[in-house]
Amino acid sequence: MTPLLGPRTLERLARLDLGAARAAGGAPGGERLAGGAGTGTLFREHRTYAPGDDLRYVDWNAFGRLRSLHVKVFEREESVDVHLLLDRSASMGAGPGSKLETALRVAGLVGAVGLARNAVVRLQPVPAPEGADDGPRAYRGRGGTGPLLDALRRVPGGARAPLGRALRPAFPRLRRRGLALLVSDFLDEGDEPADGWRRAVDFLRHRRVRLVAVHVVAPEERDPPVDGPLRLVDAESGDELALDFDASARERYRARFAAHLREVGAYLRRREASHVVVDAGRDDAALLRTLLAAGVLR
Amino acid sequence: MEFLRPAAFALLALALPLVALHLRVRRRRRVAVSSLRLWRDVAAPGGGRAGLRRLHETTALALALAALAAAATALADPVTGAPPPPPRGLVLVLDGSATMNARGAGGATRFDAARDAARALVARLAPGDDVTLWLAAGAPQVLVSPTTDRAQVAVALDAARPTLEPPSLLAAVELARLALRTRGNAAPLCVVTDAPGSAALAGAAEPVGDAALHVISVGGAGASNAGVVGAVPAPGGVRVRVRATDGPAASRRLVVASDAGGVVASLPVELAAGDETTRDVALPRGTRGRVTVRLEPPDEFPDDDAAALVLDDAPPLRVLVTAPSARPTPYLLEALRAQPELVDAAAARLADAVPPASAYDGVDVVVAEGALPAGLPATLPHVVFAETAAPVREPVVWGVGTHPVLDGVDLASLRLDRAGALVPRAGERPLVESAAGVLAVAGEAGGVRHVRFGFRADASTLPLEAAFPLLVRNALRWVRGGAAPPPAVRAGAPVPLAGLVPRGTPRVDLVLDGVAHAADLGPDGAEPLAPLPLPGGARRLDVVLPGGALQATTAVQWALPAGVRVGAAAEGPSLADALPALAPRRAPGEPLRRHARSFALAAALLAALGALAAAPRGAPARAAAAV
Repeated sequence: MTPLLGPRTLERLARLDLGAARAAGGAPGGERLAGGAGTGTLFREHRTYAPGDDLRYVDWNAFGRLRSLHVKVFEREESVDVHLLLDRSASMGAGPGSKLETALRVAGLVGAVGLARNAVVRLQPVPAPEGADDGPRAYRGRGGTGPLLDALRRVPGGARAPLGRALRPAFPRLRRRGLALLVSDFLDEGDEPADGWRRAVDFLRHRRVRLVAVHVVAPEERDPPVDGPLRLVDAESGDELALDFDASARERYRARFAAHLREVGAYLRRREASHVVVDAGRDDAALLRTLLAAGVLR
Repeated sequence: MEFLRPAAFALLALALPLVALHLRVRRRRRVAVSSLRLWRDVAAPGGGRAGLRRLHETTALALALAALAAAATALADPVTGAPPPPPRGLVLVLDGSATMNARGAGGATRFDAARDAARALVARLAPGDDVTLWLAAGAPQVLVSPTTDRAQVAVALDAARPTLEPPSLLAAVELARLALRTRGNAAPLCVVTDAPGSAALAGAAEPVGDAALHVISVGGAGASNAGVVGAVPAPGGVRVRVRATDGPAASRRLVVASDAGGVVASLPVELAAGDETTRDVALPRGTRGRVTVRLEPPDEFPDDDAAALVLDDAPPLRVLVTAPSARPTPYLLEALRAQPELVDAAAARLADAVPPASAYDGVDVVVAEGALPAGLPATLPHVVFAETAAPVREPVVWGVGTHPVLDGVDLASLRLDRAGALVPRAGERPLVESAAGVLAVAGEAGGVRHVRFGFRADASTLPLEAAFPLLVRNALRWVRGGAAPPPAVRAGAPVPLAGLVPRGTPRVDLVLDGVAHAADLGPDGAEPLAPLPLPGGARRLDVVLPGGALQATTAVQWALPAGVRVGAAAEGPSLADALPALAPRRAPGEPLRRHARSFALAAALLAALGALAAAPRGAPARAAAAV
């Protein structure tokens, strides 16, 4: 089986960090700096001892030379919960070059960086696959990268549950804030408006997670390589639509798709979520450049 | 409406792939998309234009199918009116044998009837039918190769003439059948003859494998023929030989008519098939010039019922024949007897080599054999066959002169046992020359002509030559003097114009049976060929100068060829019965018109242009698996 991410990609990920974790509110003990002084292992500065300071941080070597008490101040390090929420609906397709495959690799990239930074990475395909009712599996530490990538490679596609309805039981009740990476094509409107991707976004916002929405777009969705009379079949519902796709219809479709992208982005921004658009089928380097440019990684 | 090429409608099979292509183009390809939401928004406002596109496609298909149908209709060559009959052919074999010259009661020959039957058959054919015309006589010949040109057939029929040859129907039928087989044609084969079912068609009467054989009989149920096969002047009249070849015994009259005085003699003759008789017809004294001997009434072959001859103006010669012991060679005597119009047999005398002077009394010409008799009066013309004193054995003849004595005589093959060389005297012209010298001369002395041969007739092959009597006749005529008789000309042979036509005459007309045949003589005075009368018979041939002067009169003799028998016409289908089977007449109907083809072509063009105009624009559909 082809590995989801190549060795060179993994080597590059080791030098990256999660760009959105600061606002995600992580737990102490992580490998990423929390932005203030803390109890981490990374020395930050000395300061004069003040009553109440923990005597464990008094630098006795400095007292021997200076004959004054100073305490060592360390960088505050915290661990972040990274929730990889993968839309595995039928609209995402399957196989090489599909949106699902791109979504898996995006999740692998972010997950691997998180594990490298001692984050707790939880993988949650939406909807949850059958037999995975025990909630998302958590991966920790650099050793969790391999299992995470293997698990990602085994995520099946073709699900037909609405994203918003499927996310609620799959997403765990959080004990702390974290980073939620929702990777989807945001085409699932659901049987009812409340079941679609908007419901999922709102649900995650209420869980007070830092939401990063990765919007996977297939190239043929931007410019459909078809023409003439068509009978379109919805990949999820199976509904059919007869359409004569001529030049004018193509222009209307392009405009409608661009509006869709703007609509998704505006909705996410209103809910303080990041909206990152990636094209399906791109290689790891291109995906990394997109994630770095969007600030998801740094 | 009918179609000349209905197979062109197979082109309509192209409609199937056309419709299949249209359905394939129009078929909506199933494309899986992630969501229909975006597409629904696209589809809603475009429904009207898609409907217009489908209308265009349907219209284009309809017009393309219409163009295809119109093109197929045009290629099928539609015609209105009566349907054309299927092409067929007809092979006509006309019996051109001598018996087809037989004339019926109306004066028309059997060949005329055969020609009319052929015309009737050809007239019944459809325009596309081809006609082949054979003439079966002697070696069968093709008069008209297979053609649909009716004018060519008509011209050939008009020009066709029966020959004097025996029939060759069987050979013609077999050749025509072979030609049909080679061409892969099964056209009916029709033989028009006066003797169907006879031996001439034995073997061909069986049904032919690939071509039906029809025999149309022309002529009466029987035929009789008797003709004048010879007429020569005889003392006091003419000697006529009459032969009957066919038919029952019949009484006829032998009538002699003079150009100047009408009928001058008539006598009855009884003729049965196979009979040949010779009759001497006495003519009134003074009958001269051209006379015609005719059997009356005419039979079915009237062309051989008459013969013409020209009687000499001069009376027969009284000839004295001298020979040793008064015993000339029998060849000489027979040759003299063969000239009854020239030699008066009653007045002829025999004498030895030295006749008395009284023997020359009342003699016109002396014919001497062995030696020139002593005491021959110088005023007597003579012909001498005598060796000289020193004969040469077997002299080789190497030269023959040109002289009226040698008219019609060829001595090139003459062989001599002994001959004496003659020394031509003044006024003598050599006739025969050899290595030993001149062997014969003709000359004139004191206005008296003579002919000398340096050999005896019995010492040469001369008596064995067919021309020996002719040589004797020429010699007697020449020594007698006077106007020369009109030269005899055989049909098809050169007409001797020397002495008749002045040099430099550009052209003459040869008038035969009232028909003038122009003959260009050219700068070298070429002799034209005597016209060939068909059917044959005695004919008067006039040579007419541009000034209209009659220059000569001669006769052309014709006789029924040997081996030709006039047989009775056998039973056969009548012409009226045969015509419908051979060439059914097309029912009268509306004339064929082909305007429909033009209309169909125009419709096809317009429909094709309409299909192009109505075809929807846009790039062809591309394949896609999913969107």
